[in-house]
Amino acid sequence: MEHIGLNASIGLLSSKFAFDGPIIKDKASFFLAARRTYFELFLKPTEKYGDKVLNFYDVNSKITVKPSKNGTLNLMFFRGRDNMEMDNHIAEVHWGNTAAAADYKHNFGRSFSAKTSIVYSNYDFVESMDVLKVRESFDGYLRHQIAREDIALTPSEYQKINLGFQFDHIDLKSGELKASNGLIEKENRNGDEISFWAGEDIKTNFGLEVSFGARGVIFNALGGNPYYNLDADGLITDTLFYGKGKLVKRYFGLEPRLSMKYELSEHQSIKAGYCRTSQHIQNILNNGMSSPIGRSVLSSNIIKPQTADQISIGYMAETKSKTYEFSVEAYYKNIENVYDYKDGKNLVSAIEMESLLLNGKGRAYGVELYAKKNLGNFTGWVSYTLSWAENKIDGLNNNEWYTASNDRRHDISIVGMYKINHKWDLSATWVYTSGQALTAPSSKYDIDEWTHYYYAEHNGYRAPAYHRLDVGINNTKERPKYTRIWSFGVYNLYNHYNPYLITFENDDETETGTKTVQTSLFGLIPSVTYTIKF
Amino acid sequence: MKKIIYILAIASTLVSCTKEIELDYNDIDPIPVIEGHLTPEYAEVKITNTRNMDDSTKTAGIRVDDVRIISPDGTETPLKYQQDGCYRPDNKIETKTGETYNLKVTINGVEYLGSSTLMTKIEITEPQFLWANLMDWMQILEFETTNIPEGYEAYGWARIHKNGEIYFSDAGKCKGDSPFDIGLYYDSNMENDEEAILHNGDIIKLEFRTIDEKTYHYLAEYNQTNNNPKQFFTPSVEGKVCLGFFAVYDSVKFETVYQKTEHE
Repeated sequence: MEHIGLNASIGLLSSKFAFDGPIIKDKASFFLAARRTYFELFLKPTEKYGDKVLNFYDVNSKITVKPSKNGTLNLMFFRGRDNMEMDNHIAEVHWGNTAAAADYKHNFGRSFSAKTSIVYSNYDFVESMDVLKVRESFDGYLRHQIAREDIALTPSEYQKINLGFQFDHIDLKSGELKASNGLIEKENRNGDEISFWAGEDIKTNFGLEVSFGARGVIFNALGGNPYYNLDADGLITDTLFYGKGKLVKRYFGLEPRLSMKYELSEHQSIKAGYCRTSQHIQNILNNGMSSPIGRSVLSSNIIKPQTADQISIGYMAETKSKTYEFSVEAYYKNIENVYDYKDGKNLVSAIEMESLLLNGKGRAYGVELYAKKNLGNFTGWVSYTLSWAENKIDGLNNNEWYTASNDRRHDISIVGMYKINHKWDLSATWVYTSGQALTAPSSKYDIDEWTHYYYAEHNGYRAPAYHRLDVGINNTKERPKYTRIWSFGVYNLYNHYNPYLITFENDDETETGTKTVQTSLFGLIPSVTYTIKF
Repeated sequence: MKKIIYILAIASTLVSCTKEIELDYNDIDPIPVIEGHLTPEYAEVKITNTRNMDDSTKTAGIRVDDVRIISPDGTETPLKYQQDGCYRPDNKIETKTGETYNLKVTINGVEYLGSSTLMTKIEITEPQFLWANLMDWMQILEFETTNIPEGYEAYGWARIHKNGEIYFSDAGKCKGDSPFDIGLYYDSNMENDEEAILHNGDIIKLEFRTIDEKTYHYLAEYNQTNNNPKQFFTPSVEGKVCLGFFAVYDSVKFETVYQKTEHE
């Protein structure tokens, strides 16, 4: 890298910049980028929302050093944060990621390279609220400390071998409740995940490519925090104390993989694959809602690792001119050890997550279609996925299969970009997703002078579909020393209020007797951005 | 801990809007609902059925095969049908702190059995209305528990009537002698919910019931959204469903006339 480069944008809702250049010519370089939104500036003039904070920022940086001809050292840092506050900190929610990494890659000749990495990452959230004299807060984090070695061998242009191992110390605080009047509940867990792998990619001269390998994973759930025994009803019968770092439970898993691609002709190919994956950290969705304040569990004496076996087949083609390309892929996935909240429980029902959960299995299958136009003034792509995701957990939904919260039956994206001339270009994106599976009541009953709801089916309904159209137009002017771009855009052009939360309100004054209320987040949002590139 | 959910809900209102939508609710067969109360003063069991979501008429009470309360010494007291699904005994049932009582209801030949224990009554200080810091339109009715030993956990069920109509009902845990706030009360231009607004002169009646852990869990869970509470009653035929609870409790009561105070 010989020159300093700058790419900066300033807009109505957000600004960003990216800055890179050499530190020592051919020896060291840097990259620095940051983004910041300031949506609250538009709330300030309003009486209702004037004292609210609503913003996001992230900073991404990297320094690359080449101490020798064959060695490269990278140092990286990332921090991103979302902030929501109201009434001068009386209620606030913050969440974000911080990560730092260093890696050194050395090429030992043409056919052998090794990369050593160390990584620290931290995702954390905190929400707090003042009520009278009591300040209550709820926070949690997930931290990784990783050491990793990757070795790549390339004996020939037809063969590549990958070997490696990783040590990952995981520290999870699924939740801590603090109150200024002294009430404290906390759940911490930690464990070590040690993995090692070997794989090989082979290309043949008759159009067949094969990639295969296996990863072995050992997970040690470690002491230092309470563990439990539960009875058949999921109630805690014993609290178990193990010394810090002492082994509580060990799991071993082997994850084989195999994928093959065969070129039917210069422009057509087919592929097929199988892989097994496992995970020892599981995020548990609350009532199917994805939220930054979700709680997670780590494999333990009670929680078992989630494993998934997936098979897939696909077909890809492109036109002779490569203007158009198409693909279709079908998959089936079988999942063991899926966890969901018991009836009547949610993320705040108790601090001990294991007492709130039930274990079962899942399956997911579907087909993905993709078409893309690569060349010409008009480019873009269309993708469509038809898929199913289902769970079966004893104790939920009468022990029958039910639609999983992550099921997206139809998922469509249409993206088009049109270059009018060298100054002007247009873009439009339309997305459509089936509504999220929803647990809605099937009947209601009157008890304790109130009306309550009875839920006959878990995720038996669907929220309204999510769809929106975003459009943009760019005006680019290239000057001798820089390029500037004016961008005008509209997010959610037809102002469709997409569902974020569905609630039910009894209303015996009306004929239907029940109000179904949808809460939506953003409607139409216009934006203007000025970008300058050196 | 429920406030965590409030924070998420409030945070989402920063950039949100709401609208009423149509949902095609599935109809299911009616399910029996049992609401049983036993106190040192009286016993009453009310039995109804669930109703469809688009039914705005409250379900009338139903007659069943048999209703009886079983005392710890095995004595079975039958309850007689009164009206609108209500069953009461001819005579008062004697209760004793620390003892467990059973309610057995027989519906279409299926017995549903639930138990509850009379706990030591929690004493509380006189409740006061205080302003919440969160919003200038919220008030909290606060009192302190006074007789829970340190390190001991007890369960309370607070119910408030405003001018004779139910206004609030929720269960909570009490640890030691600490302030207990039982909910949020509105005093402002909550135009969309006239029933929630407190007006000067409103007659407020608080009843604070001491319940056992099982009843607490049921009451806490049935206020959850998108979830059923764990079934309280055990059926004699596996797979049979019935809703409701049986609570044995003693309670303290207060009555006051609401007068708005100046915000601190």
